[in-house]
Amino acid sequence: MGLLGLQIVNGITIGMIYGLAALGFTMVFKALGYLNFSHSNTITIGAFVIYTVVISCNIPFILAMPIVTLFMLFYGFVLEKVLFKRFRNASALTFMLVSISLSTVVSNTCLLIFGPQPRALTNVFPSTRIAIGPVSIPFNNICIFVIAVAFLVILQLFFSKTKFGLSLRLASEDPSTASLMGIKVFNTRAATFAITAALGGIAGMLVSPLYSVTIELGSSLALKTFISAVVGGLGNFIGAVVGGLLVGLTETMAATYISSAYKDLIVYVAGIVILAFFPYGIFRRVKTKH
Amino acid sequence: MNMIKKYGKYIVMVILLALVIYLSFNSYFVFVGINALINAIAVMGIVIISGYAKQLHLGQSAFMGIGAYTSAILMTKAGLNFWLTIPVAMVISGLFGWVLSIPTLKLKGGSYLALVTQTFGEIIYVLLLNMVWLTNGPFGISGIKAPTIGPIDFTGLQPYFFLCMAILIIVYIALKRIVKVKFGRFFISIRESEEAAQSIGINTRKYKMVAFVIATSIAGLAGVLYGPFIGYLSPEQFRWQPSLILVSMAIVGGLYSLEGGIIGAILLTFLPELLRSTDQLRMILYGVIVILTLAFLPDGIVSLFGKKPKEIKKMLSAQWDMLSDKTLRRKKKKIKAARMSGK
Repeated sequence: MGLLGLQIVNGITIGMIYGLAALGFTMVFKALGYLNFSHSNTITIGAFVIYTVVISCNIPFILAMPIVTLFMLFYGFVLEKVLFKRFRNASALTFMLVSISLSTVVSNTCLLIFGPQPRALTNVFPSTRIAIGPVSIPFNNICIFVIAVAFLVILQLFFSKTKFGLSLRLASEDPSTASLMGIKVFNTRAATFAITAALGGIAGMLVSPLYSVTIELGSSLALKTFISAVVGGLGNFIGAVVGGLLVGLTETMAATYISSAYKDLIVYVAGIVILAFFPYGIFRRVKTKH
Repeated sequence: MNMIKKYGKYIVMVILLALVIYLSFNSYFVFVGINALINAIAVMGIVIISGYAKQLHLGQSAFMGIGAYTSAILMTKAGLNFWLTIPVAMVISGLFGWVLSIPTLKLKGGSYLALVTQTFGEIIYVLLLNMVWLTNGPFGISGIKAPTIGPIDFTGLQPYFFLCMAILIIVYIALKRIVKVKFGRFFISIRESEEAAQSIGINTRKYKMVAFVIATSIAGLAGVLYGPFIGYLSPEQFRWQPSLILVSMAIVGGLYSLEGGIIGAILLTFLPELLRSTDQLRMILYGVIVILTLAFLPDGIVSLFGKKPKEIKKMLSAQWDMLSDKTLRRKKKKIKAARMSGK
């Protein structure tokens, strides 16, 4: 019972991180209809930047978080203005290929800069455990969960209360109507990429106390992020977070009760099977009439 | 003059062949050359599915891995002949491709296949790594012997080079036949517009699956050739990175033609060797080349062939205008001018 409870907590924690990353991935798909494969880089960059800020500059984790978020917003903005803007009229295939190539360029550049050795970001949160019934939950997990939820709440407030957030949503629903209503669609595109990069960065930042910080961090999380987005339905925001939670729970359960060597395999196969039966996500079965 | 025009193609081919035979006495060239030929076979598969049917396929080296491991296991454990393992490996790779295509290709747009094939590459990696009883896990399979046919022994690099070249030519001719007949037309119609293809009664799902199965079984063939060449197989050789390199080759050469795939494979295999760069720099180089190709030559290097310098310049400047927003600015200027004159 204690093990099950602990594994559920672990699953939810890692699932929230997948959910945050998947939210960024799905947001670009909703707004532009493209899959942004370079999204996995933002996870790596987020993790490395927070490591650098916390360890090298001795800034506490809580204060480092806004710095990293701002940095990632800037990164996404620059990327859109420099590269992705040029390919706005390209087909989905071309955009995917550009983002994949960009992803190799960025990850190998990171490898050249930071080196292949893994780094550990420990003692970020107090290492106490809180006992709830038979389950003793690490304080680490609670902090990560709370921070993730806080970011989601901020995002929700941004999208529902601010004018810019509303215009972003309209532009992603229907760009031509949005431009007729005076929304600068180019700016919303840049903002979309900035926000998605920030979401990936936050995911990387939150995963860094759990896993060791390596170059492969992004690519190891990338596929699970994609599967979370597919399970929730590409373009569905709530679905992405719920999909992330499902993937996280499946992964930890599979690792505990079936086989830790095959845990990734189980998640991937489950993802493909879900795609077979619910192509538009588990929340929506029919999208187009045929 | 007329003679040159008429037979120019054949003269170029003969010169190329002579050059290749001359170079084939250089063992370093032959080693890289075999690599390039095997890559070219696999890349042609990508051209069929991603170029002709426009479904992005990101797991080609996983299917190569299936082919290579099938052949190696059959040869080392069951003692089967190399030539017999070729059809077996192709069928098994194709079967995996068929199973994978059932849930994926019923969906429109190439996006889902990209996600699923990438995931599939990782699935195959985990399986190869953990099924130690069959694949020897991380230790890999070694001692794969080169094939013989009658008195000819393909153990040396040079004979193997010509074997690969012969197989490449056979595959090329076969695929050329496939894309020239009804199938190829159906693939192209799917590329241009899936809705339109459906409206004239083409079963798009079926033909997308056909394209994918062809692509994956060719990858199996390339994998079979890869085994005896390297002599050692490990799961790392068939992970995400080689798949990506194969796709890059297809794009740089030209995603929409088989010749483009071959040219891209040869170019991108030899280029990093010439620069003797490290692994990271090589991947960065690949990425930058691909982005530049997509930006300036969306149809790859083959689109330059048979064009005058003037036409090429025009093509490039049109692409540059599109990329640097000049067309947009010009439109704005025109609108402004129209308004001014209206007032």
